[in-house]
Amino acid sequence: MDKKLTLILSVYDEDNIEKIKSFYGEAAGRSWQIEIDPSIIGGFIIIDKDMMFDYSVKGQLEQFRRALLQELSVAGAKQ
Amino acid sequence: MPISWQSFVIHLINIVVLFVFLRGIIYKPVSDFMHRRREHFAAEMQDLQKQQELLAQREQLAEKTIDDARKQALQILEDAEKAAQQRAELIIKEAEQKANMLLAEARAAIAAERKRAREAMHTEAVNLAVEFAARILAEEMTPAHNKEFIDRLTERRQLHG
Repeated sequence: MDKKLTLILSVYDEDNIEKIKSFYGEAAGRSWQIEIDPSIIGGFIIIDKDMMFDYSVKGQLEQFRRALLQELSVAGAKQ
Repeated sequence: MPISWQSFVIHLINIVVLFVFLRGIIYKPVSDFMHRRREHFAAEMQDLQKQQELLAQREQLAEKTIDDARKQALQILEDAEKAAQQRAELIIKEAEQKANMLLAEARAAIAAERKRAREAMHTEAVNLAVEFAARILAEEMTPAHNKEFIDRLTERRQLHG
């Protein structure tokens, strides 16, 4: 069983990493792999096996974009 | 010269003989001939009359046939006119239905195209807005802002808590 967790950040910051580990909770006995990806702009992404928890600015913008398009599509269908 | 009664009698006998002779030799054949001729003419007249009657009957029949043919022709013309009128009405009705269908299809196509164009415009506008927002955030995001963002995400709860 792969116990490794992946944490993706836009910039390396030890303090932020600790906060995020504490926030994730279920990390006892598991190792973290830290990756830096400036394209996520800010925030972080955690990958746990086949699950991904996206708290990045890029991810939030993407969710916002999808929600906005969904709203516009629904509004257009009502017209 | 004086006429003697013997001469008178002889002349009388001559006349009678001549009368009988002429009657027997000439009058009778001529009379028979005339009688036959009259009968022949009468028969021809009768035949002619019959032919005239037949001709009149044939003329009547011909007139009746022409009249019937005229009536039949008029009926055919009337029927053809009626059929043509019905066919024209049917063609006009079908054309109207087809035109209405084409109009409805065109309206639906225009509405669909309008909807598609509006959606494409919205998508482009949203994509552009998000892209510009991402650029601005990428330029303006400082480590302090990032820390604050992470703090807000993590301070109140644990993901599996």
